[in-house]
Amino acid sequence: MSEEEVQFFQEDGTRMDGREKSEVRETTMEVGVLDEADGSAMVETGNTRVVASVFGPQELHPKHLQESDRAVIKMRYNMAPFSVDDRMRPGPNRRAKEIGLVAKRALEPAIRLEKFPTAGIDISMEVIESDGGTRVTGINAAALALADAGIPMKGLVSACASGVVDGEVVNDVNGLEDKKGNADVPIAVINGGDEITLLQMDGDLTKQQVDDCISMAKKGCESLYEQQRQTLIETYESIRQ
Amino acid sequence: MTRVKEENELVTPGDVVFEGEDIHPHSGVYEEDSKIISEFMGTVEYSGSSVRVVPMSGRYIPSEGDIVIGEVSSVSFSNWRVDIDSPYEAMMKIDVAVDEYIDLDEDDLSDYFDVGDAIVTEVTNVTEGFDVNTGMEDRRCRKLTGGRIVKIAPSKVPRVIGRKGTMVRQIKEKTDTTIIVGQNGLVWIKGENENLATKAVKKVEREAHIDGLTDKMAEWLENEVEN
Repeated sequence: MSEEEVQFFQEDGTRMDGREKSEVRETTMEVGVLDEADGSAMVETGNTRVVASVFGPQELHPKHLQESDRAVIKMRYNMAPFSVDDRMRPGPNRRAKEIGLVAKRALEPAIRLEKFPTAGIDISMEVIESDGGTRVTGINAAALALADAGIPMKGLVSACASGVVDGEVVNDVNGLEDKKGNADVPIAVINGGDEITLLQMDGDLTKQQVDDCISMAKKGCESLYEQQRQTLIETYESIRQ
Repeated sequence: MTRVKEENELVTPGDVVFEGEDIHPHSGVYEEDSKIISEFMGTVEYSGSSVRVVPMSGRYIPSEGDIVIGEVSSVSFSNWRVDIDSPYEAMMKIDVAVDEYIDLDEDDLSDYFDVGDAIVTEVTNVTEGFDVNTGMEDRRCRKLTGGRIVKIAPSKVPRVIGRKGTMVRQIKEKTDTTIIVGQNGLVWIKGENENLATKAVKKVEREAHIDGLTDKMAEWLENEVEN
């Protein structure tokens, strides 16, 4: 296979989609998009679009999954067949299971599970359109859906993925930068603060770049957290009118 | 020692409600580094020396003494199971359900309450692991026949009932219906003008935060009845 040169930066130093290195893609959030679910939300970051829904707390079946002192989360991450440029084979695969697990671990520390012993909370993240950063977008949507469902939480979880392309640290990698770049580092934090609940790293990068990636992604989380708050307040304010 | 959020202000999970230690956390909030932080998407309520956040949505969590509306979901040899629209199913034993003597060999429990029956029942006991027991001993408890059941958010129940029952009483009078409001957010409505009563209950749920809602509702009902 011939190595194709991929260009990540324009001549003026901005990225191919016109963003600065530390800039997050334009994000829109919507709460309460589904009627049947207890809580739901849709988050759109650039061309990535994820709908999350929450059911519960409710009775958990099968019974052997129940925990006598806390609620159990069942997490589902699924990509629609039409979410990528070539049709994706539907159904759970290794990747979906893994992302479901890490997303669950990212949200768990924020939820007051001990308030609902033996119960179960079903969270599902459906990727409608994918252009990099689906897991972080999914986590952002799931956090909103959980708040919408009235589940007690320590705070909102927000997530952002930074990465390294062409030896440069950039924030909120898109599909191309994710695939062809050197590395990506998705992180999730509670309340846009210092408590990190998800930290993954994939690719080649130096120690210094790891630190830079984390601090840059944290900044992204902060701004996303603020947007999550605003979205929730605005939605409920309009319901109250 | 300052109120970060005012009375009735909307907060999201993780929002700081109050800074300082001279007020204690009630429900829906937790304390961290002498700050009181919200656990819910909800509204702030101060009362005396405590503060709480009332959630905007969420499932009903049973607590002792609540009068709830439930549906009998199964009948077994010596008890019934009642679905009270909560993560936890309730169990109702014979001794607290029926007054008369029942011979378990002779009588069929479904003659008293059958699967699908709607009942008003009292939560008599909730254990730490959320084993819920209900009984029919309170005088408000009974089997429901006819009418309809409307669902509202459990957190809005106090508003629908109103102070000393004023809100629900005026809806009853104006629409000529019988209404029973269960603490679990299920409302049973039966009578002359069920449609209007349903609309009124839904309206109160939606506008729960407005001051002087009882008077406003009185006006609204007056208007609707005339049309």
